[in-house]
Amino acid sequence: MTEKPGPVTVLAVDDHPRFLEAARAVVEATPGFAWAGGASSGEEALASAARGAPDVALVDVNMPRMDGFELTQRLHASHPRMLVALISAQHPNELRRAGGADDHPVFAKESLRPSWLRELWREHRGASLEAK
Amino acid sequence: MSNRKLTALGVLGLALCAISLAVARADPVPTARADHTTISVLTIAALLGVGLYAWNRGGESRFGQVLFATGICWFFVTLSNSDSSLLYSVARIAGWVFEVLLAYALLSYPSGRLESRSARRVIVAGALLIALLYVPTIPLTGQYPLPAPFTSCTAHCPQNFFLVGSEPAFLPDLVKPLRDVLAIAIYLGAVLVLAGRLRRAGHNQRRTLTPVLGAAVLRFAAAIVYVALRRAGANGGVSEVAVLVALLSVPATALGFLVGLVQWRVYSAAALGRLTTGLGETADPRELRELLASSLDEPALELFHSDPPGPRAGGNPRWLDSAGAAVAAPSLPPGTCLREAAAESGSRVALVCEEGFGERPEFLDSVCACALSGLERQRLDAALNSSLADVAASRKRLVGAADSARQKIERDLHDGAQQQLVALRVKLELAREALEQESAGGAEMVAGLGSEVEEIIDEVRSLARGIYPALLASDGLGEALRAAGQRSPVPVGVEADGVGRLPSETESAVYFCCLEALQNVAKHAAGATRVEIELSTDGELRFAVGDDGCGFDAGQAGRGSGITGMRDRVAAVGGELWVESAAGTGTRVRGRVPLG
Repeated sequence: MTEKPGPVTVLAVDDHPRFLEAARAVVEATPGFAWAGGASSGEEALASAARGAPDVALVDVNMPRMDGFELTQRLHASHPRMLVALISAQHPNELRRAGGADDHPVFAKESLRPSWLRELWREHRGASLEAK
Repeated sequence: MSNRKLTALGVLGLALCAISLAVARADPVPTARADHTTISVLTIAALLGVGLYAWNRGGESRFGQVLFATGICWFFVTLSNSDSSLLYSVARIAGWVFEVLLAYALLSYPSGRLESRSARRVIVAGALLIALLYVPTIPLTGQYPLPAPFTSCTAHCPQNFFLVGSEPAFLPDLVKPLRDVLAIAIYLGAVLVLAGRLRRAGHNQRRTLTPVLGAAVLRFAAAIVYVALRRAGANGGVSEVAVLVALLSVPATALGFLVGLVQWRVYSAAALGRLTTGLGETADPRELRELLASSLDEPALELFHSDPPGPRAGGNPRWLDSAGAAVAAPSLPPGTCLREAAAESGSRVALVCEEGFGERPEFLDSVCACALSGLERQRLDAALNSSLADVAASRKRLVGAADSARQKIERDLHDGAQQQLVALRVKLELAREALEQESAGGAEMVAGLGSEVEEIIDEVRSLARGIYPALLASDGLGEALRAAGQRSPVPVGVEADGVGRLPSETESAVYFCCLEALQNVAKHAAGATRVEIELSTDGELRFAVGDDGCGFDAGQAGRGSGITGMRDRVAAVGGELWVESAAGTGTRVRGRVPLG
């Protein structure tokens, strides 16, 4: 597999605009990464991904109507190559189990920073290379 | 009747017996029948005694007075055992009056009143016969008819004390046969009246009427046979047996009255006893009617009731039958009688039962009072239950409202302060990285700020969790308790197999109870190494939190308020809670909450 040309695009999905704002700042401050946009709901994220799939989606667990677990599954289904990371403002211990938190690791929102983003991408790329 | 009066009358009766005996002994008639003297003296005691027994009871006191008067009259009859012409003559006249009085007692049992027109006719006819064909013959009679059943003399009896001149011939030729025939006719009439009454009586009345009416028939039959024999055969035609039967028929009636009175007393006491015992268990008027019917052994009995008039009600009360159907007025089928009673509250009952009970108004009043109190109790029970239900529902609503307020606060914290702090934390990290090249000191300071913000984030999280754990709302009791257990200093095992989602007020009540128990373990259960939380559902939710710590003396629950709060929480959703502990054996908090 060849290196994808251009920066790694990141979509953030959260119903809290302040966090989207912070996420954008982190993405733009990370070399090699580009902000693909913010979505305030699962429906909006799916529509945005359909127009042009980002490389990474940061998905908040707690959202009204479609929650993060459901959105993750739907993004996986429509874009198998996309890296979808669940994030939450709650402690991972206190997250609901029923949606499948055990299948998808959940990160604390406050751990979002350039180094974490790069690490996440590197691990994912490594895993997908191994899978090949 | 007061005890003093009862005693006085009793003493009077004994005195009369003694006088009667003394008279018979002092002046014995020649050719006396000694056994007859004894029987007639004992008969005074029997009539007066049974009369007093009835007199002393509310419902039969008038009858008791009649019987007592009959006994007094009988005392005068027994004076015929004297050889004195005056006493003998008075006694023979008293014998006529006695016949009417005894017939009156028999026909008026048990009320002391002649209830039917035919009974009144018989008594009036008897009184007229005595007044017209017996009393006027007193000055004309030389010798009273012999043999006589109530006198001990058989021949050579004393002459009539009141004779003026000599006995005219028309007396034995005309008057005496005529009045014997009329007496027999009147006795027959009395028997017919009694037979008709027995035939009409319900099975409960029959029970107490039969001994009386049996004795009455014996009495009248003996009198008829006696008069008939005397008329047919003159002096020699009446056997000693017929005389004895006629005499014994008098104490026999006293005995019949006694048996009847006692049987009624036994029946009414048993009926009222069954009624009062069962009263507390009746839930509605239908069950009350069934209790009345079985207590009184009157299957057809019907009970009507009307509730106390409401604030807007006016006019006639609305009657309901025992099935709850509204009727204009209590229906009265043929052969039944009605008795009504009203309580102070204004609620009323109407009892419809077999006609014969009409002779026992005091008994029906007791039954009605029982029925009223039963209905009043049912009404109060219903009112109490409905207010209890109201209180329980309102408590549940309060708890529910408090729970949703807590959930809302938790969400507000999560969506507001927590999100902003998280965004701030992320931006501070960016700021630190940006500063790193230019000012190592500045970057370090920002890193410190970042750590502080993280601490605040943790605090807000635990605050929100304490208010209402998000996991409880999203995943239910088992997961929320498991997460709480992970934060406990003592290892916690949670066993919640098969416990799905439950009503949110139940989940939160049990969650906070278990949380309180966990906190108690951490605070008080020294030496505890393990806590087990068990949840199970089986029509109700059962929960238990047990530790292996030092325990405490459950008798002196020193940590009262915590346990009281737990009890209140569980009680608000209709459940119960127990704390079991003893020094050295650990503590176990158990509870149950009904579901559905």
